[in-house]
Amino acid sequence: MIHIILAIVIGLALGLVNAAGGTAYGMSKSNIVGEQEGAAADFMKHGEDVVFHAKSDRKKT
Amino acid sequence: MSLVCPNCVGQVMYDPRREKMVCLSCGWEATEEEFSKLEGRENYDREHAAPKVVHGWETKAEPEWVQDEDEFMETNIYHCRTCGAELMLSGTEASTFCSYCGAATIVFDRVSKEARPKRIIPFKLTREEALASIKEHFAKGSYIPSKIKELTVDKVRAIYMPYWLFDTYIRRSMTVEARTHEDGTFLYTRDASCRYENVTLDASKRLNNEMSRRLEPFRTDELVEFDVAYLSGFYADRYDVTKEALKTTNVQRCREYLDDAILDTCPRVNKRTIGTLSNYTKKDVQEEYRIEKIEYALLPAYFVNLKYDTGRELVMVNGQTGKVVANLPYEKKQIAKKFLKNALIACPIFVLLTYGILRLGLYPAFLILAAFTGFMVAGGVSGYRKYKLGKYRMSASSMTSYSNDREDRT
Repeated sequence: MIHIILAIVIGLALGLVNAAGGTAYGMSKSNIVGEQEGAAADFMKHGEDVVFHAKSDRKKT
Repeated sequence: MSLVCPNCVGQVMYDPRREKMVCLSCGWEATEEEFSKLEGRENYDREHAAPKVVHGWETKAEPEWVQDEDEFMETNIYHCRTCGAELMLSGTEASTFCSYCGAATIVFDRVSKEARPKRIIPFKLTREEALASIKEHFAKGSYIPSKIKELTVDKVRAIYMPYWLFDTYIRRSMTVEARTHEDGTFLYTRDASCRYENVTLDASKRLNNEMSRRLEPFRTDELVEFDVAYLSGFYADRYDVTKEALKTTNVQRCREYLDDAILDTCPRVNKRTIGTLSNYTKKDVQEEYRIEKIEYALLPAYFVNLKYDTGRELVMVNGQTGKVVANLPYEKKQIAKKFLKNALIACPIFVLLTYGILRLGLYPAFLILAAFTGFMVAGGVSGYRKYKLGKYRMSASSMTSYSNDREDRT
């Protein structure tokens, strides 16, 4: 019996908090139209890429 | 901007759909190039356009921002007392009327020198296409009030916004130190360079930078040489932020792009940050850059005012790509309904999960539930804060006045 009561209390609390978070997130996704999406690729010279002059990887000891 | 038909002296406007200059009275049409030749703008005689008597107009002081090193074009500036619109008129016109309120008037007041844009992206979308684009985007938003979706249009203004386009070469070298829980710390040494072209930075103080950046990307491969004929039928704004003032912002943007590319090559780096926490640090950073070209350009956007309850909501549409930018209001009733709906789904699931965990004694599983809940709350809070900030920016007086100060007939 105690398990059922605890499950209802904790489950309801978690459910309500998650529903509130989900609603706020959904509202921001829906009502903010046209997010920033300009990427570096839009401004890179046609046919050119980032040039790496030096590259090295090592583990810090 | 208003131009006159050589055939019937009617008003000629640039038609984005036909990509031609079209007379609104007789239907005469020509390409922008043909029209410019006919108008003989290259041989325009300044004496011919000497100040004349003006009725219903008031003059505006010479703008302070004009800089000697820029290229200029001769235009006549008017300020309509009837509707408040500010007009630039080409010097070859003999007479005209206000293109926005239709008030009859008598020619120009004075000749003025305006900074001449080097390039322009002409409007590709018509007013109707811009509204259709808004409708399409709004249909996807389940939290958008239905009254907004009905699209009660108050005003639509097609405005060429001033931009500086930067070409920049940048080279950066650094050591990226990435920390991981499992394998310790890794050091990535990188030296990279790139050339960024036509980085678009808005040159208007009143236009919020974040909002104008959201209108991007513009397809800069469709930039063409500026011709005053493109402005016919549209509002054109002048820059009031100098290119010098934007140099730092441009370099900062190029730096972000290059660093992003560098971090992509570091396998243990997690670019996603939680607040100010990240798993990497940049060290021994060295940099050199060269700004190779700066050009003044005009880029197209529609500013649409929608009627909603007692107020108005501003929506921007990229006049080239149709991208819609807005921060729309919400209705408390609708949010409450959505919350109840979500709660009706979430609560039984969490009750069952909790019961299962308690019955089976899998108490560590509560940590997973708590982490999931924390994630949802963080998402909700950050989403709501982002929404509030965007709403504040969009409703800032400078943004609303950017379009509202220009009254028109729509």
